[in-house]
This record gives sequence, C-alpha cells and structure tokens, in this order.
Amino acid sequence: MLKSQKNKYTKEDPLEHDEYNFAYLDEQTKRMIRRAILKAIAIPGYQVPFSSREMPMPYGWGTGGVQVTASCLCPTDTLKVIDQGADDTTNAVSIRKFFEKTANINTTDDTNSASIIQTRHRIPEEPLKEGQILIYQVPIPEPLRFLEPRETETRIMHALEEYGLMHVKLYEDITKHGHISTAYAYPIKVEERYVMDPSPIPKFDNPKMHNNEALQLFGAGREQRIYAIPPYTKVISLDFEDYPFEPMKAEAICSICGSNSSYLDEIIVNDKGDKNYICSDTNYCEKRK
Amino acid sequence: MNSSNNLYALENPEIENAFFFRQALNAISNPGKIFDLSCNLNTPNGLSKSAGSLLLCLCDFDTPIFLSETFNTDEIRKWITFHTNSNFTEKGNCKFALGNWEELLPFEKYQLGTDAYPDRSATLIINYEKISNNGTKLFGPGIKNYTYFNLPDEKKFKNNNSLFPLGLDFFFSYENKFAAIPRSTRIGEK
Repeated sequence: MLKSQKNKYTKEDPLEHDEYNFAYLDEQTKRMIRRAILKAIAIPGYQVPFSSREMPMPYGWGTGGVQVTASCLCPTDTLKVIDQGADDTTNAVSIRKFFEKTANINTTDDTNSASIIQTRHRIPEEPLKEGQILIYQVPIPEPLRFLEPRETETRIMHALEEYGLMHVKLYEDITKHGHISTAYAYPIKVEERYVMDPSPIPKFDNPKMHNNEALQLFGAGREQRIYAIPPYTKVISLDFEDYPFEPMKAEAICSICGSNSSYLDEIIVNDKGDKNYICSDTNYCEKRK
Repeated sequence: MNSSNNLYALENPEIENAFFFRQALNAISNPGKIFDLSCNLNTPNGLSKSAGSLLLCLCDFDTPIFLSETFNTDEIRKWITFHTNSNFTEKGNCKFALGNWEELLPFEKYQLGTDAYPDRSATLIINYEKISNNGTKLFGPGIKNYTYFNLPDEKKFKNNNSLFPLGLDFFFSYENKFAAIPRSTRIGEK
C-alpha cells in the first residue's frame, strides 16, 4: 500500500520532488544538526543545544524528530513512523508522507524491516536490532523543568550532577499516593551520569532503553535540544531501595491478538463506560493476528 | 593518493554527504569498529578519503579547523576552503583538527567543553596508519561487552575519558578506513 503512495507523490510527479533538497532541510542546517548528533552520542544523556528550524508543521507535531530524521536519512533507508505505537494515525501518516515526498525513500509499517523509526511516545514491542535508529519526538527535553523553571539553574544542576530534587519529587509521589505515581516520562539515568527525560513514553517502555541494540536519538524542536543513547548503554529508571521501579500496564489482554505482554490502550466502546483493551503497537498486533 | 584535478569532490553532495554522515554516525555509536568508505571522492594529495568525507559532511563556516603541519598544504587548504568554506585556526580555537598523531598533541591545547556545555569541545581527526582491532581493550556506550583498538597512546585516551563529560572526541582515518573513539569510551581492563 505504501509503495503505491510513494509513486503517487514522487516518481510520477518529479516536479514535486525536485522542489525540495533531499529530505527537505538545506545542507548547512543538516551539517549543524549532524554535529549536534555526534556530540550527543559522545555524551550520552546530555542535551545538546541546536538551532532548530521552522518546519512545515506546527511545534508539537514532531519538528525535532523530523529534523533529526532528515539529517540522518539516506536514500537507501526504509522509514517507519509511529504515533503512540500506531502507524496509521494522523501524525505518523503525515510525517511518513512528508519524507516520501521530500526524500523519495521507502516507508514501511514493519518494525523489523525499518532502518529508521521515528516515534512519538512509544518504543515498539518487537526488539530492535543493531543498525536500526530509533528517533523520538520530544516535547520537553529537560527532566528537571517542572521542578526548576530556569534554564540557567537546570544547566548548573546537570553540570554539578545535582539530582536530589528529582528524588524528592519521586519521594513526594510516595508520600501522597503510597507508590511512585509517575507513569510516563519517567526519569532515567544514563551511564550513571546524566538524568534524562525519556520523552513521554509509558514507564512500561523504560526497561527497553537499557542495553538496547539500536541507536536512540531524541529531538526537541521547540526547545531546541538533541540528545542520544548509544547502543549497549546502561539506562536505569530512578527509584528507591524500598520502592523499586516497576514498569506498569493495564491488567488485561489485547482483545484483537490476545497478547498479555504488550502495552495496551483502553478503548471505551459504548456510552455505558464498557471498555476494551487493544495493543498500542499496531504492527505488533497485526503480525500476531 | 588521489587526483585533485577534478573541481567537484562529489556528484550529488546532498546524497553523498548523507551516506558519509551515516558512516560517521555508525562509527561514533560503535566505538572502535572499523568502517570502510568506498566511494568516488576526489581529495587532494595527502588527504585521505575518509578524512575528506568527514570534513565535507560536518564542516562549514561555523567550524574553524586546525591543520597540523603535514596537512597544512596549499592544496589541502584550498580544497577545504572551496568545499566547506571553513576558516583555519589554532588548536585552542578549533572545532575540528586534522593531522598526524604526534602533531596533534597535546590534548590540553584544545577546547574540552565546559561543565555546563560539554558539547563545546573539539573533534580530532587523526591520520593513523595502524587502524586495527588489536591492542587496547575498550568498554562503554556503543560497545557490546568489549572490543579492541590499536590506540597510539593508551594513557592519553584514559585521561581523556576520565574528564567525562568533558573531553575530546576522535576519529581515526586512513585511506578508506575509519573508526571513532568518543570521550565516553572506557580504556583498558574493566
């Protein structure tokens, strides 16, 4: 299905493609972003400032992820884009079309055959492998931002490795709710140095970041930050000895594929409040059906 | 080494630079792993294809370059200026440095980044004949279990890693081959 879309937007109408530089961004912008990406990989978890560009989509629709993807793309790549795990929602479809049009690349829904996966708020269920790149769209890259609004201060806190405030926040969760109630964007520590925001993925996905074979890149467009977790990197979720980190999902099975291990979305099916659960990762669910 | 008569280094810069960068990206996210860059890239005498590819996909007027004595030739300077529009500078101001191992020393002369901005540091491209996966044991991000690399001076790289998150990042290049050692790579026995 996607192959034919690609033809529709590029090959049969070469003019549309020729109006853009490869992958939309100009070469100077790509070089600037490429340098930021290399430094981000050299300093895992550290947020590298970059001069984010206006993209032909609003902030909050993945402008950071799109810029990182555009700078990494090669014509031989196969791109997959997911939004909350789904390949077929607005954000995912339009970003995929954007790169079909501007980079003339192949796209896919299949996690396994994608070389680059741009994601909003999920990590695919299928384990990633060496050579794949997972690119996250990030709204607020600074994990300490809601605890300390001043950039000048959070920057010093990172420099001094002063992360006590984050533990206080998790502790306050426990005093109020009896457990750590943070369910998404759960703070992690990368290579025992930088505390990092994993983007708003459910904490169910946090363990997948640890020692992942794929390269993980993070782009925040409005906030102008790029950061990275190289493959085979130590990633731990912050916790306490007596309140250890626990990944969490709905206590149910997928009503389409019957999976009891994948992350589930709750679907309200009628006006009486009855609900169903289905896999959030549509490609994973499709393959199991 | 290569002919420099051809005016254009690349036929489709936006495509070829994308492939060059992907190799650099693979190298820095897999420290010590040796990559082979087979491509049609016209570089001037003395400049390896792999080093040339890095300069093309990463350098521009925002990145002052330091050239060590051997590399500071008219031919190489003209090629870099023509293709990247970069300026040339001293060790202390450069974003990228290119040279032979001894000429690039000492590390202390380069920008190492600051505590608040560790990314503001230099990247060294070392022309290094002895790229091989023998020698020093390496650990750290990007490396599954461990790997080996024939470092020119173990102690200096150990010291660079001890500065983390500050420090320098390295590419080793020779002819078509290149490999990277970022500052995060831990050197020697675990």
